Amino acid sequence: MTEPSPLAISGQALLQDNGYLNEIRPSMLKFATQQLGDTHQAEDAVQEAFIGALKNAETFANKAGLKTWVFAILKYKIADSLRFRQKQNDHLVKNDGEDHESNFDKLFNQSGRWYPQSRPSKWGDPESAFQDGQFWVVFDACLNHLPEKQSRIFAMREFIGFSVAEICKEMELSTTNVNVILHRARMGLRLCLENSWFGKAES
Amino acid sequence: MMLNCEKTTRLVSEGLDRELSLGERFGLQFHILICSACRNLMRQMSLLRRATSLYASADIDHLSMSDEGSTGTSGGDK
Repeated sequence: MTEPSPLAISGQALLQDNGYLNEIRPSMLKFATQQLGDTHQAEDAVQEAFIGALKNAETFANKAGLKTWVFAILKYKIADSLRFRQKQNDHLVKNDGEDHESNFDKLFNQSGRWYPQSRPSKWGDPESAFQDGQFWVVFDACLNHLPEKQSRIFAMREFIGFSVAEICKEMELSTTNVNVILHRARMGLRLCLENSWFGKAES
Repeated sequence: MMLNCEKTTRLVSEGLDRELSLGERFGLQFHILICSACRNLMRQMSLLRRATSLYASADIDHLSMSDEGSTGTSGGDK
């Protein structure tokens, strides 16, 4: 009686079921749009993610697994588009350490205070976010979204556990440089999580 | 000298990488007291670190499946 019945819904059936598609499509589209900042590209990415997911859908017997899988594919599609875009930008911007400065400065006004729209808001329930598989997909995408140098140094510090002094030595950067890069990486990651995950939870 | 928000965010970040001086900590605490945005940010910066180490510990596969059956952990809120 506890055996999986032949009637168990396969992932394939789930993906071909419009109800389920409609259920997850909006959040995928929203996620992709936030990451890419372009509705058309987001639509394409979501479409490709669905096509990719269909190929392997049989292996997923439950919605949670399938959803994680579809989002994982979407994430790769997004990362791909961003990487492509970055490559194009690299031809235009020589120094990738500085190109985000102007963007970054927009958080604060001339006297160094938050612009009203960039003030960090209260995050809903981080603990339950940590329990949600989809949060980690977003987290992963936000990490990938950082400029290469930032994500590399952030990873050295946070994943490998290097000290700032060790990073300076390894990367031949000054302490000030490393501090600035880490600061930007954290601010970027924070902002991405707020926009893509926590922002809408509460005001 | 009063810290502004931008400098506060820098100090919060540096506080994750080195021990802040007494003066720095004092300035930070004072600013946090009067600025809710920076208070939120400070809290989120330590959450980021926790999230990062959870992420790095790669227990994500297990986490990602608990998507449906929400485990109602109501731990101590500290």
